Amino acid sequence: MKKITLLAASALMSATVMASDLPQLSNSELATTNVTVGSVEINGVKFNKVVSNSALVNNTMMSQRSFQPGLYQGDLLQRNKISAVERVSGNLLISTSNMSKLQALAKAHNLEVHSTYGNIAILKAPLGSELLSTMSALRAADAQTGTVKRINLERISNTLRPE
Amino acid sequence: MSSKLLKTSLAILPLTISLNIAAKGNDPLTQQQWHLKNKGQAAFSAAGGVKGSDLNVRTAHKKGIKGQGVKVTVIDTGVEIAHKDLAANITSGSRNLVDGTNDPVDDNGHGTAVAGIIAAVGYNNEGVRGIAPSAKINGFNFLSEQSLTSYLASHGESEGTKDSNVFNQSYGGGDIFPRAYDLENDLELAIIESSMKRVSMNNDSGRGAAFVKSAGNGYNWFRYGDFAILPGNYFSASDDGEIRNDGMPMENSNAEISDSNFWNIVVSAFNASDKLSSYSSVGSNVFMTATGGEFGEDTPAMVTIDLMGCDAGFNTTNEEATNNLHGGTDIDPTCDYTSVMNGTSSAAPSMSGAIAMVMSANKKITARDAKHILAKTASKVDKKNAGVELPFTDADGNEATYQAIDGWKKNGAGYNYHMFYGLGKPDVSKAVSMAKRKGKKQYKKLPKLKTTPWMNRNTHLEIPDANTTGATSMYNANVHNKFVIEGVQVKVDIDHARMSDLSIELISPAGTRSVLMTPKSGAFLGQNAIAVPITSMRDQLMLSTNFYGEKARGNWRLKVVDVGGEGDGEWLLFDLATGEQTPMSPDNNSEPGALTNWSIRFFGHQGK
Repeated sequence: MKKITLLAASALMSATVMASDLPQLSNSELATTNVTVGSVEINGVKFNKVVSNSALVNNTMMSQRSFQPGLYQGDLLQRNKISAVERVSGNLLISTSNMSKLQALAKAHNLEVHSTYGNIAILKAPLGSELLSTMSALRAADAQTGTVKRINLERISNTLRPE
Repeated sequence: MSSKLLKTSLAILPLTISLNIAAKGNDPLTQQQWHLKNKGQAAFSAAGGVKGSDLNVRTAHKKGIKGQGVKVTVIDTGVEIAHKDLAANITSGSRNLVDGTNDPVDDNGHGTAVAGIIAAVGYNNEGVRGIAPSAKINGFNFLSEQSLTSYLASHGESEGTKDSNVFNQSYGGGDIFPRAYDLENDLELAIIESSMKRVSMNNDSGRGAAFVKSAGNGYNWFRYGDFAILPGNYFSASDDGEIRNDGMPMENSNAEISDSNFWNIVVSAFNASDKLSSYSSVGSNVFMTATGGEFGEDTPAMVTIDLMGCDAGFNTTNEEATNNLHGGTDIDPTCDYTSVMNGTSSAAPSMSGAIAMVMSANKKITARDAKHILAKTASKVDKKNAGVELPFTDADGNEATYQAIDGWKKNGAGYNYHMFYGLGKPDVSKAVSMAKRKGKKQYKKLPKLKTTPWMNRNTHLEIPDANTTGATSMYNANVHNKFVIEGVQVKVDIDHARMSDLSIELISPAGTRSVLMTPKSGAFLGQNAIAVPITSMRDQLMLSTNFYGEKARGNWRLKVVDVGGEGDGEWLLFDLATGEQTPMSPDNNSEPGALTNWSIRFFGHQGK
């Protein structure tokens, strides 16, 4: 932890305000301020799809793709304007009542089993695959056996900091 | 006078001290490491602290216990594994989670400073000394790549960590929204819990591992995403003769779901003056406190290693030094050490080092035994601290008070406890002595760890507004009469429109009160900061270490008290990008809240 004088705020506050230990965002953090470009629903929860300002300005392939429907590895999501931005990793976390059936299901859908923990598997989707469709396809394929209990998409928030 | 000369002259005093010590063949900066032995030294700041406010490490070192045979994994911004005062203690297993190499490059310096607190090489005539100066270290730059797979690789699920005995986690992230402990639906949380349990119990061929976690630096404010969460009077309190947030912590460490996990040993920070570090988050989940210091300018921070060279890390020549060590001074011309490392980030490695020392003293004990020995031998910090009495406006508009944080109190098993400090600070030499005992007084290992099932109480109790009477629900825990508590977890369901008014207490059969969630914290402020306010918490998880050693069997009471009335409750959402302040002054709840459900479970063992 580092004691940093609050500069950004000082102009906005009265002369009575003391120097504080509030940090300022770094230039790299400021470069990642985001713009909402769409929305998506995962397991009944609505998220905004966002693109970083710099990606938008530079018209990167990622920013172009984010305007398209669906969800892909690398897409950025935000639940509300104060919540953290989360990056879609392309990993699916699936709980099951039958791990061997789930592994067969994964193979049939071209998903790589990264690891398993008890009744939960971490599956990696191929780069470029549309993840909401993959989730739907897994559920449809599993409809008869009913071994899949829950599918989560991994979202990486990078909210952990040195403290 | 050039700045370089100024820096040199500032360093004269410590330089004199260091040369004397160097002549004895010891690590020249170690005399300034107050956390090892506090003699009131200034540690390159303007003023020293209080003699004895330390970890009492020296005697154990003199007896030859230095952490040998114990492996500590540092999960952080990375570790400079080639550092001249660390390299000899680096062992295999490090990984760069960004590029896949074995060099966990640290671009920040934080992880390297953490590693130095634990196990900077000792007695090598270089710089500083770790608390466990012969322990082995590996590192991961997890904070640069925070995916679940990176988490698992760095926290025990990789070849290089399967024999680690301690995992140091000097990181965290505040939360302002209720989050359910729902392992059926939150699969990431379920995987992490399952993995932590396995690693804690089985790592290193059954010796197990301790996960040590910083409590957070949020007593005065804390960060949430690109915002700082502040009390309403943060900027005006001093001029108005007020106390910020009425003296209550903004961040209660129980609000972060990973910190209310039993497998994490959560550590708060104290300073060289034997007080709570000015920034340290606190909560009933704090197991113990350890050295964190202050900022290294006016009073001591930690003295540890820094990224080598004067262009990287905390100690550089790029900015004017604010202490007597930094800036290319004669005492450290190549800027390889720092005296401004602080935070609960420093307290966690202080605890990790202490655990490594105890495990080193007795190769037959487990990581859990080491934790237990440190608890049994802990000593008080800030003995006279009386806690915090919160003033509030009651439902009739009268001024009232509520004892929100107790001072030091003995629990039903005779352990001293304070929410600021947990069971106290490590006394490393005393703990090592206990671990090494032979004969009739030999340390007896803890019986096998047991976890009870969740026990549920469905209820519907009204929580009166702004009234200390509160709502109290009782549960008779019918567990084995010899079940001894090592930790208690509670899940609660509460409906309430302004959750920051709430104090959630748990009272044991022995009569010990633990405040699981303090009022006026920022834990749930997000409920009123979004378009559709959240009016309930479901399965909100909280941990208490306050009942350590007590018996679990008997009547447990959960009491929820609303201590916020009209006019109470003002906060600021401070945008760190723009400096914009958004006041948050949620109206007092118009309807009384309700406690609708709660569950309790115990971690511990059967026997004495």
